[in-house]
Amino acid sequence: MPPKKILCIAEKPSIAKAVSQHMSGGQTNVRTTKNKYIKNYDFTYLFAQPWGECAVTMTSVLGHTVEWDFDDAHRKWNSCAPGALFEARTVQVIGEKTKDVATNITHEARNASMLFIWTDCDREGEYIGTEVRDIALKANPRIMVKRARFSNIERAHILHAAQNPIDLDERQAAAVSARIELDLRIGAAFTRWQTTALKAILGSDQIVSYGSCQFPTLGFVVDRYHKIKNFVAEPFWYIKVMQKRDDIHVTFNWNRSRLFDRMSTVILFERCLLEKYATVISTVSKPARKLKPLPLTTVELQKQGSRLLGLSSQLVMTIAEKLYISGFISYPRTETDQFDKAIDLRALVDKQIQSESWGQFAQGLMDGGFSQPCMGKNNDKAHPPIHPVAFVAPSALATADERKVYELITRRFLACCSEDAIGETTTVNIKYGDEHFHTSGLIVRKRNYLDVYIYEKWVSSQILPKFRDGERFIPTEANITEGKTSPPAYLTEPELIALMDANGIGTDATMADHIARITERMYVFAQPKTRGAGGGGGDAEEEMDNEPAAAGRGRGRGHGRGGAARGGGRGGAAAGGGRGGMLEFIPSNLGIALVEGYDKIGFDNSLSKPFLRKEMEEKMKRICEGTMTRGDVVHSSLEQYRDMFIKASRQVGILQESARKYLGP
Amino acid sequence: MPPAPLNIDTLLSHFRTSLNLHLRPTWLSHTLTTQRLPTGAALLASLKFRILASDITESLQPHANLCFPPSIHDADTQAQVLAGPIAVQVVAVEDVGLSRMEQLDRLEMAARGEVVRGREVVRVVPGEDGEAPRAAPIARAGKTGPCKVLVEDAGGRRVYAVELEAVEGVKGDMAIGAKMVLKDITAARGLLLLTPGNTTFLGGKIEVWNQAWVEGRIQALQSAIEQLKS
Repeated sequence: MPPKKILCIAEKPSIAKAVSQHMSGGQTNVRTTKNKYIKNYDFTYLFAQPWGECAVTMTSVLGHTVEWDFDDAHRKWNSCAPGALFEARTVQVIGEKTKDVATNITHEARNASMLFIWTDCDREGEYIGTEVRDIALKANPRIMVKRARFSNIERAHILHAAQNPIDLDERQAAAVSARIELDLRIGAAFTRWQTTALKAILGSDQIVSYGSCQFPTLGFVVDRYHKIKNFVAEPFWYIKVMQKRDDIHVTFNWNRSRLFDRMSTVILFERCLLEKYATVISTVSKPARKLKPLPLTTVELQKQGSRLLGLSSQLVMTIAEKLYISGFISYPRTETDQFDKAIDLRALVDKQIQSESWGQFAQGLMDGGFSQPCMGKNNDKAHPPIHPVAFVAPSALATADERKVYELITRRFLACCSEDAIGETTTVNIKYGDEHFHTSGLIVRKRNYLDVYIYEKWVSSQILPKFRDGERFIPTEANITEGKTSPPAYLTEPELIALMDANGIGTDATMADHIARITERMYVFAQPKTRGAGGGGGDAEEEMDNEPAAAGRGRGRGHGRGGAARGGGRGGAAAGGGRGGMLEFIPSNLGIALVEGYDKIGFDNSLSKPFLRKEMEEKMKRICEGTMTRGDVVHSSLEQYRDMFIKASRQVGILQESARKYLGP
Repeated sequence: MPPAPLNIDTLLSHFRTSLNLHLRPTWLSHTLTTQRLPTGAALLASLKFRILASDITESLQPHANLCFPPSIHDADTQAQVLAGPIAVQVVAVEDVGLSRMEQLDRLEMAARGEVVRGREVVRVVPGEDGEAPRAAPIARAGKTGPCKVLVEDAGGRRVYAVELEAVEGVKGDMAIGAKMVLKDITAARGLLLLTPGNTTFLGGKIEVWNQAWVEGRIQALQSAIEQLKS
């Protein structure tokens, strides 16, 4: 009896190739297919029981094989009123480009007894798995279907996945299918409608595309632009107290930091001077820590890649994908910021010992410096945090950017496995008149993770002279100073990603694409951030970084899906600036006009705001959790967007007026 | 046996001793005769509410020892302590820890039903029954205060006050017409320095004033900003 045949299908050719290499031990027979990218790899493999030894054919798709479109009566631009697209019948077709891909599956599935799906383990991959399954079942209704769970392309991990097949997650697939249908209907209806509405004004056949993620993303950029444009500098006043002691100039800062009222400040200042003596209320020395970073998520990688390396989020993801396919790092799309206890982290650290740059640090971890990484609050239950799975010599990577990304991921990982930096802060609080002032000093005792995580800095400050509790002294100098508020700077890419993340726009896997999309559409222009311009308006956090992290503060930082970046690389401003590639976004006239038009039409729930999309994203989660059905989600979201559509169609004049205002002659 | 009816003198003395509010007998008797008020203990609560909602230049006695001295605005006086108790009502308030732009930003967002929580913009949606959004969520970004408040005594004299320390009830979006009682308070160059020790916040608001204030606030900030431009 010939061995059973098992058909394995991966999401992309590179994965099929890598996985078949591992499973076959290099002994594959390669067949070409009609599609020039896709190859079929034949080999035998000993699966766990009950499968046993089987003939395997490993092949792949090219992402999605099936397209969603409207039926013939609605497909063409002028075939129907755009509003009809909210309920027009949709069809799922195998497109011209993927025809050969489907044919290959059909052909290979016919004599297979088992379909083993190797698409990526995320929502999109789950859905693509169902596409593959449906095609295979049509060719062979008796084929059994399983999928592999894996999150990197490292050999042992792949073999483990091959031995432990699981079932497809239908709910995740349903969530993606709901999103695809919604994006198609909403995107097509608004795109057709607004393109037609603005045609005469734009004076061209330019398509003015709409996407329910693109527009809120654009909204954030335009919002910041208006804040800059409407900015008016306002004066404020503050009091500073100086004391020279042991030849050290100590500056005490006002606990109120600043007031926007001159009269109040002057009167408070006068009362300080009247008092003559300042009194030391307390001097507190306590241990301080700078917390090591949390395990790396996708959002965090994109933000840090942009901030520290000056690479666009899209480029960072492209590189990470390549590193993953090459078996160098784990799956780069993950929301998880906690390592599973089962992962042998020491073994991963051990692989880095050979590095010339951080090998010594890794050796230090192996020699007793290792410390279990902190647990973040997020776990997508599919993938571990991003980490290196193999050591790669710099010469093995093709470009400087690839080396930088791999270095960032590896240094971050080693930092996670190290200990917090330890120091000591001393804070002196004084009362002068009715007012309170403070100063503080920091001594760094042990750098620990900072030695490998070169992107952050934490340095000892000037040493404070001795102050005794209850001591009274006449300040050397006290004065009142006027300052002016400075405008915020244009929105940078890390800021934009953080905003999208906090407001539920897109998933970690798609954010970079949405940003690229609004740039392609010329709704915004991206330019390298010029340092110094715009002042520190948006950099309130930077100050915080110099404040030693308070001892005993919980590990709460970095929560909310990588939301808060404080401490996580902020100190690396110098690094970011030095390489100078962080992008900032400026809206085009068209971008401004669109946002203003929709804001005027939609008022509080404008399409340029994140609320509707965020709700949709939350409903996707509920499909995955099983608390909402796909049908309910599609229905309710369509209702919401249809309301906005009707509102907009009735007030098309407002959008046109806004376009004329910014784009007219 | 029904409780003994509260006579005017008892009521006057009650509010004098319990809240340091010296009511005008005429205002009290007018209120008692023209308004339908409950009896017994409920009467006191109901009257307190009326007083806190009233304009104190009409409801309270403007005796000299219950009001700011006429010399209060003398900027040459470095400091004077006012024994009081002086009952005042809030005429205007501004959070001087925030720039006007920041204040405006918050108001405009609130008008759109948005609140910022960290980086997240949250939309406050009206209830199912289409009612107005429930009281604006307290979540506010960043630190606030101190507040600078313009207060008015029973005689109609208006004086600026600033929070030397945070006083409960005093905040940037406090109601206009809210009542406070000041005791042993320092006025430095005519500016009252509020602390929890010298200020008792009683609350309340004058509906008409408050409404006008809220409606005109955005405009007022905008023109203040306009002025800065030039």
